[in-house]
Amino acid sequence: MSHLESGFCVTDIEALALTQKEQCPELQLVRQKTYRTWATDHGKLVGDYPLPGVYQVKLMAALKKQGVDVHAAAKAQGVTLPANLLDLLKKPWTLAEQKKLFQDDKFKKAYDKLSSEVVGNDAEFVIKYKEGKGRSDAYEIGLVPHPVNKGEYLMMTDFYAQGNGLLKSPGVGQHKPGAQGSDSWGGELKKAYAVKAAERTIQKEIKAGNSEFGSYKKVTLPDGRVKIEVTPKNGGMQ
Amino acid sequence: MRKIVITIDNDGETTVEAVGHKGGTCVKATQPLTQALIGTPTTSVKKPEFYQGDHQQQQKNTN
Repeated sequence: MSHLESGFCVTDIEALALTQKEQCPELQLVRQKTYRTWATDHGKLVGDYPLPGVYQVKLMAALKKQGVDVHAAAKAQGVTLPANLLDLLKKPWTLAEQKKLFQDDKFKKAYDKLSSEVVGNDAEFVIKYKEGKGRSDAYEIGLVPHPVNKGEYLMMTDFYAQGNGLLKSPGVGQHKPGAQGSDSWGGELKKAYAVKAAERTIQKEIKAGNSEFGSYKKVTLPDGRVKIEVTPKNGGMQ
Repeated sequence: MRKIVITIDNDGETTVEAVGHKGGTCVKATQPLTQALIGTPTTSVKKPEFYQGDHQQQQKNTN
């Protein structure tokens, strides 16, 4: 593989736990550091996909710690890194750019080390099959702490072969191919989580007396999207 | 009329919009929701209204 992906940010673990309980009967969310992927099974990523954004940031941080001027080193290989390396989270480098970077042994060595030691070993929470459910080789969804923002997590999984069956489990949502680096997976779970996180936030703000949050209505549009409109306390009149 | 509109698509991609806000009030109005749904924003698309006083703002959480 290396079909490891996601920039999807989770800020409300409790909302995710509730969502998973409500709609993914075969799965459980547990506190766990490791999440199973091809890399944890085979010791390294294959490298046929660009490294996910969160791991690009971690790779750059490791190189900077060694005193490497990553911007200059990347530029020497024809790759322009963003001034703020955290921007790699939302706009990771492409596979073509990764291949260019790996012409410099520093990048390749750091990638191999990260691939074997960090990927799959850096989660705080994991969503996985309950005992006795699913394939014995099923992968897992890792909630990897954001490199900077405390309390925020990036949802990661290996979507190869539908995560060895994990993504076929009811309520999760299967992998849908896109251009490399833009594949999507877990749509059902992510959508339901986002709706729950939004409603919990709105209810919290109403309770706290925030004047911008008076009431709200939620509708499901014909194409399946969910629209939530929040009206201020005074009805929104200027 | 002021309101906040949240749209969540079938892949979980979320857009938070502040509609009808004047000046920079939209950022304050949407902050709790953008923080919850998008995390610390790295991208903020400001519409022309931002610079005209009547302010609409969109922020997204993408896969």
